[in-house]
Amino acid sequence: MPGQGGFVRSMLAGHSALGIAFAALIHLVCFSGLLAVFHAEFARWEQPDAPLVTALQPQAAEAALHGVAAKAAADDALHDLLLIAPGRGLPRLAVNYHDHDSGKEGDWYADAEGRLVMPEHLPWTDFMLRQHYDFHARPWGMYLVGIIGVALLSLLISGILSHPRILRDAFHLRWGGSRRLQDADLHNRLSVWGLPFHLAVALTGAFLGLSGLVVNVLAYAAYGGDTTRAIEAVLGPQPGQDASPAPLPAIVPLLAQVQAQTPGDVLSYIQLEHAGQAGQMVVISAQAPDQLARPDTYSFDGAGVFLHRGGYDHGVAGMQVLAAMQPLHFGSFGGLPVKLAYGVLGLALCLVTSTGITIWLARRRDRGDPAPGWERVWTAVFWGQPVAFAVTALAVQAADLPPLPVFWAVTLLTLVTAIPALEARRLARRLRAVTGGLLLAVALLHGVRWQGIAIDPAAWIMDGVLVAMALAMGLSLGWGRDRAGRLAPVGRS
Amino acid sequence: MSGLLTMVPGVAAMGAGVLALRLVWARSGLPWRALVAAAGACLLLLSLLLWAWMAGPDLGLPFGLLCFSLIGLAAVVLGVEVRPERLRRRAPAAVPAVRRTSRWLGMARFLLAGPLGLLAAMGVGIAMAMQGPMVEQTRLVLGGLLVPILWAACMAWTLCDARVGRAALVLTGVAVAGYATALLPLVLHV
Repeated sequence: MPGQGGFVRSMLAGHSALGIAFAALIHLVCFSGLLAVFHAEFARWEQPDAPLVTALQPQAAEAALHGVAAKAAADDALHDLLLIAPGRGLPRLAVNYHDHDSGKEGDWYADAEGRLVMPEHLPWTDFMLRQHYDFHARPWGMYLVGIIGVALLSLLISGILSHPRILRDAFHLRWGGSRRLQDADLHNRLSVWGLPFHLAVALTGAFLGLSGLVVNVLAYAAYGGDTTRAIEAVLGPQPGQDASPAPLPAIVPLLAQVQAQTPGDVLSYIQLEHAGQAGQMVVISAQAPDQLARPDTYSFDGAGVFLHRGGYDHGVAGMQVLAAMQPLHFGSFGGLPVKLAYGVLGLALCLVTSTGITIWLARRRDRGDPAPGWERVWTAVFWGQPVAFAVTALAVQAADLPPLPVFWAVTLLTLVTAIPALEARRLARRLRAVTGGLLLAVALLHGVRWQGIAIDPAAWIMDGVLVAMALAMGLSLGWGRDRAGRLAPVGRS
Repeated sequence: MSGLLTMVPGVAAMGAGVLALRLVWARSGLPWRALVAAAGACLLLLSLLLWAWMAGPDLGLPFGLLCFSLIGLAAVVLGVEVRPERLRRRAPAAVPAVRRTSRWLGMARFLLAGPLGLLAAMGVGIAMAMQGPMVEQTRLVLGGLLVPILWAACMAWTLCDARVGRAALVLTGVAVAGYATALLPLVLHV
């Protein structure tokens, strides 16, 4: 069927062009996303001396909010307050204040009685999350992440359409022999079996990244440019604009109201917007156990009058779809087993991205047009991410250095390793060895630093995981020494 | 522990389904081949239903699909065929079409896949948000969700279609149809 062959080859041409254009960006987003799935575990690891809180009493929630309001007032930044209740793998009670106008903010951990105990200090975890959300450049970075999600979605569509033997090859994984066909097998098998996950994270990522832009455009078209009306249509009432002083509302009776409406739901967070003003609003968020959608919200005005229920769990179809976006993207809906599954499939997505490029490079080599420079550059891009995140973690743990410049400096330095004329596979082995060494160093440094201070056992489990990953990398180097296939001579397949 | 036990039927059905499909794939002379393949597909569907029954429809489907991916990948990895380094010749794989390219063609494809594709997707999204036959919140969310899906589809199609002019015409048509559907009723009411 020449027609079908032509269609497949055209699809492959488009797939290849888009993949080459976006591969590095997709890898940056996917690798940071892989880490972001475990952000709660990294937060526990990074500050393991913070108080462990497993259950929250309403009085403690109110005390913590009033405590952080006092901190905000002392900093002349009393505007929005947030309490994040313990749960979802993070047994911590965190409170935060944020003032949009001055940009001032403060984060604190509280104990089970609601007393603020210590400032939250998670520079590496926060850096890693922002790297995934928006490359530290909101809002344009967020739009860029959304566009990368669209490109990934497009690659999934063209990838499936250019694979006519999808069922016949469903289980074929041949290791060894031609590098191109080996990588093609890996690329196709990982993408086909991981397809539901890849589609879910690409679509939700594109939606979340572009939501700001899309809301503005839809608001312009449907509400004559009134974004507030568009936001209210979806999210419900927003805080009033009356800025005259008012006492903070009592939280305990509001929590009792929510509990009466949905007994059995677990408190997720409390938001106090325009705190201390007459137009202030309280949003209480609570979730039924074992539920996919993000927690539902209950809004009250400053006098404690109930205003609105978000409808995320039992509302109209659109709200339920909206509520499923974040949990589906971050794998936060089924505890550790789902996170581990997301970890495996996220790693698979990184490998799919990488093998996409190595197939293209091997094809060039096979047809007598090798690009050894680009082979090294791609190796450095791929391994540059674990190296850069590990060095950043070391720099933060050892000297509290700012993560962002360290990360980009190491990323650029890793790219420099592509300059010397070294076979790409050798470069990959060296960078893999460096990554293993760095993971070991991070775990050891962390263990020494927090010895006798850490009260969260998760810190030691995470150190153990890092050591295990370092050992696995070391073992894979030994195992791969004899098997690491040399690149095919130019012009052979 | 009881939570783990509820997963057993879904995992078992998924495992059996994947195993049946792998048997069909591995043995070309398998008796009742079509029947085994159909049974495998049915077991996969049954597994999704079991997951939905045990964990509820909203959580069960993602759980079932994650299980499908992980068991499928495990079956692929367990069946890996290690080949000696010297064995280089294999069945030929499809290679991308070599197309006529120039700076202008590349620029045209970029404009079609990027800005024009976004414009067309936005048009349909706005039409859904303004005129969709659902309640306001659902219209807005689905309108927003349609934008990345349609933009991705436009991107895939424009980059794959060798005829740039045809792609430009279709995308322009989609954009015009979208904005007309969104705005025409307003204009007519005025």
